[in-house]
Amino acid sequence: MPDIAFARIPTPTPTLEAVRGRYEELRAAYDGADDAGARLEALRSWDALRR
Amino acid sequence: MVGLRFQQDTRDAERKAALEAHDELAPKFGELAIDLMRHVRSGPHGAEVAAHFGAHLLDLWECKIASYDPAIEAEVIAESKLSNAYTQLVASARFEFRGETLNHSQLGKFTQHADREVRHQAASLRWDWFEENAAELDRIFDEQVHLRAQQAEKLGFGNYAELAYKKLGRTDYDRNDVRGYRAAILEHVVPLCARIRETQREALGVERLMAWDESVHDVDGNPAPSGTYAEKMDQARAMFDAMDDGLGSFFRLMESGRFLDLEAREGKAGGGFCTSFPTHGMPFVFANFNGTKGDVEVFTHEIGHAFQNYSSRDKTCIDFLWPTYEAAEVHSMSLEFLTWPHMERFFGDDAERFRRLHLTQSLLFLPYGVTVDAFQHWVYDNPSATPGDRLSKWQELEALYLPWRSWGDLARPAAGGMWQGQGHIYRAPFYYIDYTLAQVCAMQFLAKAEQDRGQAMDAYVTLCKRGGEAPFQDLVRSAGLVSPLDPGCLEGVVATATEYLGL
Ligand SMILES: [Zn+2]
Repeated sequence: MPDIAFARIPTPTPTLEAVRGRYEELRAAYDGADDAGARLEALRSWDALRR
Repeated sequence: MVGLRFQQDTRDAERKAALEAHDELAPKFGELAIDLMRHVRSGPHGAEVAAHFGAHLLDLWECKIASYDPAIEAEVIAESKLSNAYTQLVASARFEFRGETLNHSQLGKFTQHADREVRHQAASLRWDWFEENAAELDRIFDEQVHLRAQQAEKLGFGNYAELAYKKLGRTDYDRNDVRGYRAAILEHVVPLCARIRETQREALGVERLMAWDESVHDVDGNPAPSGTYAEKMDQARAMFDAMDDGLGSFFRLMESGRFLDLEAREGKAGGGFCTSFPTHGMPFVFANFNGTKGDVEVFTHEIGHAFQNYSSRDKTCIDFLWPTYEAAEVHSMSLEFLTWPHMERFFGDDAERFRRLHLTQSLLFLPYGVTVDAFQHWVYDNPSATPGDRLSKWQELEALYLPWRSWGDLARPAAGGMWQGQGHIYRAPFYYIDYTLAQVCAMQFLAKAEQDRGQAMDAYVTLCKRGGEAPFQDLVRSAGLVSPLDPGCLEGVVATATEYLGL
């Protein structure tokens, strides 16, 4: 059984600047990637951020 | 998370400030997400993304892209302010009744009162309030209809219904399918419901079943669960352990991590829902137990949502964690039926009465649900209709789908104003048929379980694991169910229900 408790889940406090910065970074990474693996990796990182 | 913390204690100023800050930022984050969807979809590597994540992802993204544009921002904000105005207006109502000051939902409990005269008085108070506030309720809705029509026009849709279907992520059926479904409800379900109402009238021993009698099904009143909160939790744990298929260990995990907040208390917001923390792979269930049979229904319902979310927590992308609404309600409503053999734990000798009532009310909901849907299609097909036209239309639809309904001396609903008490029509346009579609699937799970419980549970768990990786009909067919939108589906459901109820 995984050890997880509601009380230990932190409240995220993202700022618009930070998220926009990360968005631009990942979008550039997606566009500049040489292969499918790197492109999907950029999308996975963005997906993790959206969670 | 901030939303949940606020609902747990609505009096805490810090929690409220955090929620407001979040509500302001959320649309901006949403805009960035849609930006990237558009970028990927229109770029040269869309096919690669579809191959990796599944084609359904790009279809969902297409819905999001098509239904949002900064050009409609002003209308969206104005529309949501009007939704809040509706919520606040309804919440502001106060009734002096039998020595108490009550709000709408507290007054609502008297609709199930054993004394017919009390029920009639409570209904009169409720509908007098809607009559007194009719002008404001008409104005709010009229403005919303126009704002919604403008959004559709700006985005290039022929009609708001098309935009709403996109917003709801409906990728594998359209309004014509839904029209066919409503016709099938009318043909197969309405006659059965008319028989149920006639049986109910006889059981109550009344000459004519009036609107204020509809919530009472027999003279003994509704069955209620017994025991303290702790005893109910013990029964729930034992029930899920006995059902197994991972439900037992899942429920223990929810309990030990305190991902359940089920008891009513001062300052806590009303209602029941399930939310989730995708980074941590855990759902959270929120409810307000009040000692009625609703406690058991809400509990099994929300645990169904939670179990699905937990089962699909490892899906490759966030868009697949929750399915679209009609599919999501299949998991919750089906668990309400799949837990049937365990209802003795909560209701003792009244369990069979509970089961019959549950099935009866599920069936009776279907014609009402399609009335709400048919009304909304008409409203947005005719955005320049007057408030008076809308009342006439509702009246006409009620006569078609709910032919047993008698409003008696309740003037406002008798004139076609009942829909103004249905908040979804104001706050969540076109999100209602979803409950009926899911209910039809849930009843198929009941039928499957009556034949082979193990097989039904396997199909249920497999469906939960799929999360939202496919559109509605694809999901339900993969679980061995017939899509409610397929011809012939409702005949089967009605036959099973008729046999069970002995009608
Ligand atoms: Zn639900």
